[in-house]
Amino acid sequence: MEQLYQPVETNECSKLEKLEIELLLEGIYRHYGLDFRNYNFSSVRRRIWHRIQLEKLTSVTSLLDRVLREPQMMDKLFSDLSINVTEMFRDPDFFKAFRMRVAPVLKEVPIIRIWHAGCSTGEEAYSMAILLHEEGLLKKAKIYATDMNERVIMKAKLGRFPLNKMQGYTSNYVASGGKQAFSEYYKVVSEEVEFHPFLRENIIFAQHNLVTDSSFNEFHVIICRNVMIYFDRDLQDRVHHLMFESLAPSGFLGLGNRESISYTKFNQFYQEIDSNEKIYQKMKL
Amino acid sequence: MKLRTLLYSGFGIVIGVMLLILMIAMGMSREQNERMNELVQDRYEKIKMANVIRTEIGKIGRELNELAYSQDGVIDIENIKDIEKSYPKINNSIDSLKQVIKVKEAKETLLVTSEKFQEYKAVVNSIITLDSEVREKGLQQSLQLAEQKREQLVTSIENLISIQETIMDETIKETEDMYVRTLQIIIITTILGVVMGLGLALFVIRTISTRLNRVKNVMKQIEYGTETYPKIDIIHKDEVGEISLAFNEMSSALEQHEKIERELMESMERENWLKTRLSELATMSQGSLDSEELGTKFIYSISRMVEANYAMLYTKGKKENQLSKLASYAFVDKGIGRDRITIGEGLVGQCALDGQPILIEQVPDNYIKIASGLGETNPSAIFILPILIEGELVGVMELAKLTSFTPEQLSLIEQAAVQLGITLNRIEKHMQIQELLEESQTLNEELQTQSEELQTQQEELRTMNDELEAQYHSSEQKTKELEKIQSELVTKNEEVIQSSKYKSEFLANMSHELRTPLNSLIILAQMLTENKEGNLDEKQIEYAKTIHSSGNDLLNLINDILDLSKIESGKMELHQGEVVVNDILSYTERQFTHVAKKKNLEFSVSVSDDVPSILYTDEQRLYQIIKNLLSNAFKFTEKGSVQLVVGKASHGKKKGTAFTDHIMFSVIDTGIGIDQTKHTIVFDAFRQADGTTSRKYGGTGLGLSISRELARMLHGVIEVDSVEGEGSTFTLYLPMTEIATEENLYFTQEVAGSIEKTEEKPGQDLQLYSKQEEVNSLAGKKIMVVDDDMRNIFALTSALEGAEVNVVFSENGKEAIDMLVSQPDIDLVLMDIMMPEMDGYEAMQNIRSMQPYESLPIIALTAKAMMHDRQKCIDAGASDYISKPVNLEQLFSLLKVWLHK
Repeated sequence: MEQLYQPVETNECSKLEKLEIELLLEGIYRHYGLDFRNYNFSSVRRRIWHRIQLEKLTSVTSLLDRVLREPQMMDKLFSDLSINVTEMFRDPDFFKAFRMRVAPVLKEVPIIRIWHAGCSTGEEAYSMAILLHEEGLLKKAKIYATDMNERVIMKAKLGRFPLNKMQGYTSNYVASGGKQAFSEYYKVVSEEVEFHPFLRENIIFAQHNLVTDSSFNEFHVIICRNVMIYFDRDLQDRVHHLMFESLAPSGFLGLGNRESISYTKFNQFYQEIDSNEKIYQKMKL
Repeated sequence: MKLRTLLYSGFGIVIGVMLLILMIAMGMSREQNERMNELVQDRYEKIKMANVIRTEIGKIGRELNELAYSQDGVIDIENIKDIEKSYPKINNSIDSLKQVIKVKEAKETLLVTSEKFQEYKAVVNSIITLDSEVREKGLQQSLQLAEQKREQLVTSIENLISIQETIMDETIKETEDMYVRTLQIIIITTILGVVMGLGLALFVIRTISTRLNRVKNVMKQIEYGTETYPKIDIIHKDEVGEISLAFNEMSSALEQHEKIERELMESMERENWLKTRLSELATMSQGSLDSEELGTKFIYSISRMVEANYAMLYTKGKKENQLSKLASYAFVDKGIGRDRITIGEGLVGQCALDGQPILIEQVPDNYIKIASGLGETNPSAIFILPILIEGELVGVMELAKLTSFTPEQLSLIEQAAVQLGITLNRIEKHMQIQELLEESQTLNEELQTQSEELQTQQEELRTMNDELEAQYHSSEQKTKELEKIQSELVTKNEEVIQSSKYKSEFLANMSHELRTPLNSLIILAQMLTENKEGNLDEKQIEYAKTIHSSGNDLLNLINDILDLSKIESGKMELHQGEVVVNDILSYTERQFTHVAKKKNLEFSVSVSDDVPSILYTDEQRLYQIIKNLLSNAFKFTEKGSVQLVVGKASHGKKKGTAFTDHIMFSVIDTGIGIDQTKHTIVFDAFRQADGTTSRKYGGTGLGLSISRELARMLHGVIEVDSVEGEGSTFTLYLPMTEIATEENLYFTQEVAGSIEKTEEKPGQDLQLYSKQEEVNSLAGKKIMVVDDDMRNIFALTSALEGAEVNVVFSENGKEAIDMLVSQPDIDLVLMDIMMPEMDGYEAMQNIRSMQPYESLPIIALTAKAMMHDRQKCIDAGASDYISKPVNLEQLFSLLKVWLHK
């Protein structure tokens, strides 16, 4: 049995396999309206094979068969394809830079709208809320935290995170320049911590798909970290366009630390605020 | 003639003339001097001698006369002697004159004089010697004769003198003439000399300046930077001639130098042009991250630079053997500039194959046309060259031109091609790196997801396993249990009834049983505080005071809890009746005035006119509510004022609904206020707005929730309005009607319900967890408290022991380390910072440096405000920090996080 599985480690992808994957993605799009066609091919391929192996299937087409007929299988594959890696104050330096360079500017704005695109289970949105609270900005801020995966959104709304991650989050918080004691924001509830409800009062969690949905407001800050790495270049361009449209003049864009705006058409419309932490400011036109 | 000769001869002549004039003048003056000498000496001498002769003759005459006049006629010997003395003198003088006088006339006169003298002498002598004779002839006669002779002699001498004087006059006259002549000669010669000198000087000056001017004029003609320099014609072989010669040499040297410099400049310009163009190209391609864009820009720029009229750029495509078009300049599609070229095909292909540039100067017809709107023509030169990187082909560039390529252009193209190759390579590498970076991030996240998934699966499996096992056991027992349960239920039912009874009994007893010992404790503490016997020291009195106040707090707490449980169990009874509003207010005022004084606050009570004097309600409960609100206000107000305002609720509003028939009691303070988000929380049991404030202000947090419940029982409601930092207003609304109408009831319930919805959920949660949790995760853990303040140790210890935590403590860093070593089972350290001996920072650093405690959770207890201190704690090795005074709920959460394994 084992031999039948396509070895994922090999980088070579046969034409046939490519066709199968394309058919699968096309089928998902046509049947479920979920568009993964412009996702980074090698990543999608790995995730698909991951599912195939878990389900003890032998080929992409056999997975297609299951996916089209069993919505549960689609759910599983959907979870595979939407990678939800996140943590609180992830890359603390980003938050530190945000605190130092962006927060002072936001003080001048009467009502701040922040879009967390691809927020996953909401850790970073809560982190942002804590940061804004400490900068005295939370009351006039609205954080729109969106993800295409409704299940993670539901989880995010609860504001509960696993206890075993908290030690790491605490050191992230400290490294990000946190001004209070991190323990002031949560209480322990069995094996989870629950964050103080006032933090989520100004967060709006909603489902939004960057691939298919359009802009829904004008924002002063857009955070879209480590989301576009799963997209191919065309889709990246489209998403950049969407974000550019959604960003107010002089608004800020925060990307993941492996991402960059340099290779896109929009490079010229942004000014680098912090090149290491990938914070950009839209230029006034 | 040489200038030197000229100058020597000129000045020589002038000096010669001067010398001549000097000699003439000297000669003449000497002659004059001689003449004067002659005049003075010679003539004067002659005249002098002549006068001597005359004088002597005069003398002889006088002697003779004496003789003549003597009575005796005897000739005195004395006289004769005098006469004879005069003779030699006269003779001498005559002889001298004879020698001196040379003039003929004078000589003759002298001769005559000499003769006359001889005659006179003879006469005189005859007189003297020949007395007889004289006597004969008579003396007188002889004397007369002598006188005659003498007179003749004098005349002759005078003649002589006059002759001499005449000569002297003549000589003076001659001398004067000579002087005039000499003067004339000198003047003439001087004039001559000056004229000659002037002439010579003019001649010399003119000659020299003319020659120098010629040189100067030529020199003036020099223009720097020209190719040729003027030369001077050499006419005279003098010094100027030598200067000219030297100048001519210099001028040729300059010409040579100029030529070299010019050549150098030209080559530098060429180099410069090349460099500038190259650097322009480099700058242009610097920011470029897209090869196509770069290619287009590059080919455009290079075509402009070398004035090419047509250019193509091919790069090596993905297929090994093919070149594909990247960019073009002035390209006309006629099947010549092809999109794809196989390597080796055509000249471009050949060039790619060889890696050598190809230059064609004679382009055949039908090769490529350079086209414009007006027409098209053949290029005359084509240059094809490969773009290589370390010998490996990257692409090929082809340029065509109507004129031929200059060497500079060719070298520019070649060097630019090298640059282009590097840039293209860089772009490609960059893209690759970017892609790899993103890929690595994706992979990383995927891995993380997978590992999480695996972990979840593992846990799921474990739980499933457990569950299965449990199920197996349980199914066996279930049957038994069911039976058991049934019997238990029966007993339980009885028990429930019993316990309810117990509970109310317990509550009732509680009030008595708890309060009695507590009261005695309080009273005894009070007595101790007074220290009537004077045997307690200050510290002990302080302790007693603490016991007293803590006892009071505890008593209040018990009262509050009882109240609350009474209300919740519905046991709180209302004693409604007529209440005189003013009574309550004056009582309240009395109660709180001293509090206000103590805290130095303003306190006022005001009642508006439209408030009825009598209310129908429970006086005691109303007072309790007002008291609670007021004590809260005083508790949270440091300065300013506290007001109690009673009015009719016509202007008060609650969520848009006017309380028209309500009386309102507002307690307004200028205290710390409450954050908007916490307005609802403050009514929760055991809660205060800011979790940490309880430590500062004390109190149980029950006051407001009891007040709210009481208000509800009285069909009223309590509202809060507050701005953080500015103060709060708590308002109690009570219906004024005697019996609450249905409408009012409904309203009250609705309000209460809405509050409940938002508030009680977290409260319930909390209860739930505290039941499960504190037993589960903290029980049995061992925590070390390090603090030098016993009160803190005591407070923390009692709180932690309440949660079944084993607590050990030490009073400074050193002790703590020793204890850690001796008790290796310590799970966590709570570390104060400010301590004697060894402070918290040092202690943490020391602990961290010890191998077994590298990952031991250490929680630093920091001062409230300082952000800086916290960073210091983390740097010193703290895992986390918590501010003092410690909020217990926060502390427990924190402990659970750090004790989680």
